[in-house]
Amino acid sequence: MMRYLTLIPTLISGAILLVLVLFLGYFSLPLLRTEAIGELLGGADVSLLAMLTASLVLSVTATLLATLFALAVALSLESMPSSRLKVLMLGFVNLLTAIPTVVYGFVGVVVLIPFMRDVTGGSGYSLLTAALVLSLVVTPTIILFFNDSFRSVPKTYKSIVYALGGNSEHYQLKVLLRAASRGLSVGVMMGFARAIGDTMIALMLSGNALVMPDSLSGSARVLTAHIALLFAGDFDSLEFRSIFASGLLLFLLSTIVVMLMRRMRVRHA
Amino acid sequence: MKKTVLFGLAAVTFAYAGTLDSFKDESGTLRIAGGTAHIPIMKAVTKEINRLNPNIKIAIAGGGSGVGIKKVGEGLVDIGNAGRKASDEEVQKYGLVLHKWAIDGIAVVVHPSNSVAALTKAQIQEIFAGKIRNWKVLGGADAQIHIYTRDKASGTRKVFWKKVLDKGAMDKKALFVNSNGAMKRSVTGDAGAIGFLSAGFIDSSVQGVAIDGVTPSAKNIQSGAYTFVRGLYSITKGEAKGLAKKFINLLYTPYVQHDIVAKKGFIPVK
Repeated sequence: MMRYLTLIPTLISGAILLVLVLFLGYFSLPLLRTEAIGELLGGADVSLLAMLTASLVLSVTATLLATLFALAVALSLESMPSSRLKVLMLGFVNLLTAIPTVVYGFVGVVVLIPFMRDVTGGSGYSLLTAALVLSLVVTPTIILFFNDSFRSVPKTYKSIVYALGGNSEHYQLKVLLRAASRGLSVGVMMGFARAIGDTMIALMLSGNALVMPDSLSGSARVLTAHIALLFAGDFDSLEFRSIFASGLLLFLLSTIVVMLMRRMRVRHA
Repeated sequence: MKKTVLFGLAAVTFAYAGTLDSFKDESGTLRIAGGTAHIPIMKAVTKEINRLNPNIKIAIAGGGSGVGIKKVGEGLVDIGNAGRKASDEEVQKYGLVLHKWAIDGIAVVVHPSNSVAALTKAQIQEIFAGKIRNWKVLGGADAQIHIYTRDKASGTRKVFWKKVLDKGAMDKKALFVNSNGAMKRSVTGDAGAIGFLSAGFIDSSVQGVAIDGVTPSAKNIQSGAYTFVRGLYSITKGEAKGLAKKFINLLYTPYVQHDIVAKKGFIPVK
């Protein structure tokens, strides 16, 4: 009995996923069949290749920045003795993960855009502006993962390092980071997955220009923002079809990320 | 003479009250979505209705003309707003009925501090095609031109592209925003900006540019001197029924046409 109870929801979720992929594939098919594929990849009005590049550039940059920041925060949290302050800080990080991205986006428009306009020139709307704000968005998520993976390292390791005459720095740099490396990679992947799936930040801050990004300070459109901008287009237009192809690409990207994460977890265990 | 005026006034008041009064015993929800140029009018009318009867919930969402047409067609909202005519296929596919209740100008806007207050149509076409890149060329300050545009889901863009750009090229490096409101905000915040929006949105925070010598003022739009205009439509699936019908009828009353539509910078149809 129990087996069936768990089997049914599993089948349903699997079926939904399958239908989703088929649906996306079916709707993007007309694009992939005709000469439109060349246009889509090459340029014309809508270039999937340009948007894919923009998505990757944006999320890699944001994840890199966030990882560095999160590592610093997680390491200092680790070296702190258990105290009320530590609990408070973790609670605060937790809270940060719950702030809707549109709030970050709005603050970015009001505060960061005029600043970036002065610094980098141009309009201020750029991949770099979006990456800076996006890194703020994903940092808390990565911190939580880093913190968890640090905690999963046996406490005895630390005692051993101290017993050998080492200090906190020795422990963190030589032992902790290595022992927790798999967990750390999972955290980075999670951050990346969140960054590439985010819509609001890029939509509000990257300018959404339909060009191949040539520099970080230029404007470009990411896949998610493209979907948000065009889901109301004419049904039969190339643009409208292209959002399904964008969806399919995003789906493939996150599948790859999830599969990488799985492999790491398995090897970790 | 006095008597006739009084009588006329009474008749007008009565006609208006009649339509607004029809909401008195109503309750329920009316869902509206679509064109972002319509939103100020929709909100003002909703306020009037709710002042009389707070039990009617009217939900107003944006999304653009395409969203309005699609959502009403699929029965997700009761009224879909569009700043362009629904295409023949759209009308056929869903059995849509269009109600045009105002005329709206499509204005080219720049930052209030910009000294370039007048452009020719040809200049605008060159700017939006990315051929003119500096305000200096146009007699303004030595500053880069930042083009703001909308995506193809936008009715405002469609009309602008057809009537002002003559279906010409649009620079792909342009910055894309997703509503009339966002357009206004972006132009207000950027001294080098140029964009286009519904003339009803123009206030002191953006400057409407004269095209070939004609400013997009309410007067010029009304007189027909300013020719870059479009209809504002509210669309229903089939003939309007119930609350949606009452709402649309209200849009055509003299009070709404003159005291709301006209005052917000749109041109009444009645």
